[in-house]
Amino acid sequence: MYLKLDDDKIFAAGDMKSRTDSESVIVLLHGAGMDHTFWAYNTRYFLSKGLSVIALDFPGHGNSTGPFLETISEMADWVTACLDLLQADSVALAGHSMGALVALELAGREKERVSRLALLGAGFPMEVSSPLLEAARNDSQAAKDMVVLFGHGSRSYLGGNTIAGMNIMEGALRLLQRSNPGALYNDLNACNEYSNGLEAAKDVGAVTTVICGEQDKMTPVSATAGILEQFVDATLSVIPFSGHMMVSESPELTHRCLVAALLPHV
Amino acid sequence: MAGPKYLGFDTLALHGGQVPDSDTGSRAVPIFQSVAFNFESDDEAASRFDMARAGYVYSRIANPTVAVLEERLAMLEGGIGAVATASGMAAIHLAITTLAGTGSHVVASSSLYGGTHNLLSYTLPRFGITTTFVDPRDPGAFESAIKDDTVLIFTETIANPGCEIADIPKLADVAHRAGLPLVVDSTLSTPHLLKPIAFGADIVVHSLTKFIGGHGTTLGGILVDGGNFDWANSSRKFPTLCDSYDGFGGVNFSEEFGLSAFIVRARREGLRDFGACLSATSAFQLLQGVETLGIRMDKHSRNCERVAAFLEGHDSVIRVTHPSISAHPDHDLAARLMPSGCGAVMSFEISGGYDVAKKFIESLDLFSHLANVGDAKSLVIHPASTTHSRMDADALGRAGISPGLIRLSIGIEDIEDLIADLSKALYLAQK
Repeated sequence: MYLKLDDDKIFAAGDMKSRTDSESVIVLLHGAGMDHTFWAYNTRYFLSKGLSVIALDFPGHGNSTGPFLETISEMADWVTACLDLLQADSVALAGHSMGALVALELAGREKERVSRLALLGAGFPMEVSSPLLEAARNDSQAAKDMVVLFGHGSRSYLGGNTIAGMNIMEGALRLLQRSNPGALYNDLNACNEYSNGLEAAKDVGAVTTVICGEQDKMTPVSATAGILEQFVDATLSVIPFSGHMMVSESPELTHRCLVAALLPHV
Repeated sequence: MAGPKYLGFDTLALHGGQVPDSDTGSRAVPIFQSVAFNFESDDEAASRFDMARAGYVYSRIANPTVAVLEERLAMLEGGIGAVATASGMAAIHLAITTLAGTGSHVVASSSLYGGTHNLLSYTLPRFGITTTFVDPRDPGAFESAIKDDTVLIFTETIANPGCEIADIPKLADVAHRAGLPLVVDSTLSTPHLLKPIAFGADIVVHSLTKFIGGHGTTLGGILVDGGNFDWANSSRKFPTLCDSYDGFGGVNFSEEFGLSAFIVRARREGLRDFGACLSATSAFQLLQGVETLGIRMDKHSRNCERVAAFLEGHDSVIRVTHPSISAHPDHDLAARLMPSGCGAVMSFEISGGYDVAKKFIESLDLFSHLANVGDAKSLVIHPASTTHSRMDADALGRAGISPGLIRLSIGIEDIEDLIADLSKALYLAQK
């Protein structure tokens, strides 16, 4: 569905079902240079359960129009505006990578609104290497290759995907290649410059699950584990053999972790 | 230390798509000869049916052995995903019908495998899908033939038996300017010699029966999606991908799956409803061929070049058709697109017409007289009376198929033995 926010057309995969006031809307936020299709299976799952779920495309990504949002703080403001528009007063929030930082920032600000929080491929600070940032600034193919190569665990280089017939590394590469020029740099730069993660984590009231790929080279388990103590209530789930792109690398295990994180009663 | 790199062709040909079985440690890809797969719960069952969770349901839609083959071919082609089918013809049918319906139009090369020609000329029109055939070497003719209801452009990377080479970059440009996908049959080139997606093709089909399987034992086909075509934002309408589909709970494939809309629909509608799936055992057998594709194609190509050069200099031969011959109209294009070799299917016209051609074929010992190409063993056939016999005289003429034309599929035997066999048969045929 499309939302109208200011002059921009915002795309949200999924649907808002009729719900009681206490039922949370599940909100899924994609990572750098990606879009809502990253969550295609998860979106379908939550919808099939009769739940309200939206997988947002950030401005200038996927089907959403509008200029890029340059900081994680601006992105959190923007998600808040979308939630206001949808009258989503209670949300279960999940984000991947850049989307995880946005989810964290938002959850820290809006204790009342965010009931559950799932951070996938999260770490802060989320420093981006200079060569990658520079390559992304030039919108070069090398930047996209680096994200794909560093973003996947070594097992994924050989495939063995459980979604039949899909070549996930090429799929990730193509998604980056089809993103709007400058999107990847904008997003990586926003991650690199975000510095409020530890403070935001202290303010989070939601039950939090950090989901990390065992072979994640971008936000490694060792770095992720150290931030858990910042939260009031957080647990770590590690996906074996997976890298940073655990949603596509290990879809079933990640699904189970995500459901456990957002829908504890299921 | 150098950073990580994408794996090379031969490594992927051997390992791609397979995680060694964790329960048994089986190094070879196991044959999952099971029609259906257990569910742990109602939730899992419903979710797998609804494309809401990963996993297998029923082998017509997806099978773990077949999935290894699919993923491996997608990796070798540089595509985002693949769907394997019961034959190459099933793959072509699936590619077309995933996009086309009654009232749709296709622009296709006039130099096509006879079975494909039949499908487009006679069978699909019964279902309201028509085709305009054009000169494969004339991108302008493809462009001129495009109509309002055209849904795709179709060609073969290396045609048969004329060995016309598709100028993929130019045809992709024609297609994309018109808002259309370029679909190519790359059976004779294989991903070892040519990766059409890298040159602009959007969808690649193969008969796996030929060089990829490589041993003349197993039928199969595959459809690989490059993931580059923007179905939703094309100037053309693709309702099968961009409108909601009542046959799967109102899914809008493009909206939900984005760049993989085509390949997801091909599986979820095409395999489900047309049912031309590949068996697990066939997938296993084809995988044995894939593992050695690189080294086989190198030898196929070198042998074919030697045979073409031999025949070109023979008194009984009127013309030789293979892109390795400098006089071939596509010699330079082939060298540009396929620098490591342009395949092992060739043809030549023998002086004396049909009767001499027949005698030549019957005089061969090593070459097997049969209707196939791409076997590790060398093969021979007379196209006008067999593979292309359903074409009328005009169509045969346009495809360059004369009564004296003989098609060879060059195998990987010792080249000296192949040339000796050909030499002997040429002598006996003219006797």
